[in-house]
Amino acid sequence: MDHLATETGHDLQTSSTISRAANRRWSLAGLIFSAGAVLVLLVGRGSALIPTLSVTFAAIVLEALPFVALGALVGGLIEVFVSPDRISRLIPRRGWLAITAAGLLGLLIPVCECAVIPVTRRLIRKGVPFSAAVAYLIAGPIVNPIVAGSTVVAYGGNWWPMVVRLICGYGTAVSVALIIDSFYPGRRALRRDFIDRADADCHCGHGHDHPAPGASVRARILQAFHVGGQDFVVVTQFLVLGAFVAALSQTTIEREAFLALAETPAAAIGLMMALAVGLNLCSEADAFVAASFRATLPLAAQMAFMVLGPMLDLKLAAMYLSFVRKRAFIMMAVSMCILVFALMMIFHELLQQSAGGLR
Amino acid sequence: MKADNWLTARFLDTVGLYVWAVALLWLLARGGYMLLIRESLWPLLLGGLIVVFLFIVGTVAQPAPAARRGSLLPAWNRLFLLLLPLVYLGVGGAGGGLDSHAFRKRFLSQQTLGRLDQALSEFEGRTGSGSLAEGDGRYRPVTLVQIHDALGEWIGEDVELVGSVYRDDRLGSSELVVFRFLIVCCAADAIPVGCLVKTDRAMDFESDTWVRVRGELGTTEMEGGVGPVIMAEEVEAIPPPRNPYLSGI
Repeated sequence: MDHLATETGHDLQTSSTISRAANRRWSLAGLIFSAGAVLVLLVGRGSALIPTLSVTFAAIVLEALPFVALGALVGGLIEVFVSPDRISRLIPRRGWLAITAAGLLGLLIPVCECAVIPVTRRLIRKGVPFSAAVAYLIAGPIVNPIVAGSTVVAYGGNWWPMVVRLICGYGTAVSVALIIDSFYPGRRALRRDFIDRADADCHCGHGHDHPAPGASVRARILQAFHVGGQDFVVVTQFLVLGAFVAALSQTTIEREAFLALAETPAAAIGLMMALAVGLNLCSEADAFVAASFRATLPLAAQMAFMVLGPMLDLKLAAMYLSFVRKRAFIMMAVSMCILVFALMMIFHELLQQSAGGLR
Repeated sequence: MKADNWLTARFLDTVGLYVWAVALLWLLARGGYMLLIRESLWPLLLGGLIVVFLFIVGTVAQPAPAARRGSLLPAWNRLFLLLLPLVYLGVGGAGGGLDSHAFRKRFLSQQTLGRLDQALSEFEGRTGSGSLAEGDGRYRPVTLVQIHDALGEWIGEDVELVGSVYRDDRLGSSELVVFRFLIVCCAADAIPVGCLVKTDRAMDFESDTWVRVRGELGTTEMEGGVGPVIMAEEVEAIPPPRNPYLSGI
């Protein structure tokens, strides 16, 4: 499917046929996944693994669900009440300016990484440039006051880890957005079926009729709820997929053995990045887990955990793939990992050189 | 999608939303959510329940569009994936919260039983932690967080501690670990915290048995550091608490 990314002005009928085929393939894969997960449950019943897996899996979904619902509701309201014209008037014309500004949007709309996805999907469909949306998508869950506060509290009132986290998070997000913008300008990073539905149907992609112009406020509000509900259902299926894989990794991997590999700063940073991807913690809570490693790991490794986790984990990967093409997602993920690793190595060196490090 | 298929797809989506709304209501009403997420986060679930209800209203009120071609496969897929966590919740034996298996997988010796770390001092952990500790005068109720927070203040004290039992081959026949989990948001971020207990009755208690331990708190060498130990005078099995977790900040 990725070779289609370079096409412009595509034939809607052809592409929507492709979209339907892709949609069927994904649906079949999803059904097989569900059947496999149920099989694991039935076969493993009675083993020590299943209760932990069940608690962790259900906990990740339950904690994220209200945020996804809220994000979907906000997205539905944006869809119905905010016109594309208004959006385009609000966005700076210069690409880099739009990206740098969007990276700070989390200060105004402070949502975690689960809520940011439905909002971003809807903003993209309303015409927000994908690169600017990426900046908000990645920076939003870090550069926001709630996460800043929780980081300060987790580190016993010390402001420095929070400042470093926000700066690194913002810098990484803007850099990744600029990279994506140069390799996938316009909407080329978006999945074809995501674009097709927006173009072919009604800019919301759910096969429904919109209220006629001049419809009552009540009809428009109900429409917003419906759009939000559809987004919620679509995003939640990806959340469930990612949460299951994350819970499985939490249940089977022993952290002690895992962290025993962290013999050098580079290994510690790399392992904490891997842990961030595997644990799937909420950005508003991950600082507490990171801080609990203070006795065992350098601050740069803890920081790597806090910077990468809200940008990239298993459940987020699944949710990103609901609207981002595979190759573009891989580029995003690899860019994030390289940038965070490099930033943290530099940070570690700076700490080593300065007297009275932050650790 | 054909108009009748569209209606069926909408019906399946509504079923998914409806089942989740009922599940959220049930978890809130029965307190079952406390096994999964932090007790004080109930307003979050309530907010989620309200929004899901609004989604149901919006979906039901939506008029059917003109006929379209399509398959019902995506709608079935959405429904099954949406219900999967609830199947695990109902069938997977999640009724006791995180157990000794999770303790073993998440255990970090230097954080928990070994060298005491300042990191734990940020967790207040008083909320919901002392509900089962009913000191009888001689023994001061203490939580695992308080022990790790300020071990020095408790050394030499007669204390009463409540937690779940962990046993494995590394422990002697007169040793067990009493543990609990500290959670910030949900069970996924839970950090295990434990205390070694020395008692002649250690073999009487299986892993995951909830116990109340009374005895003198001291320290012992373990895994290259110093950790807390209770020289137990009494150990008794008790029913599991409604909220098995200690809460962080």
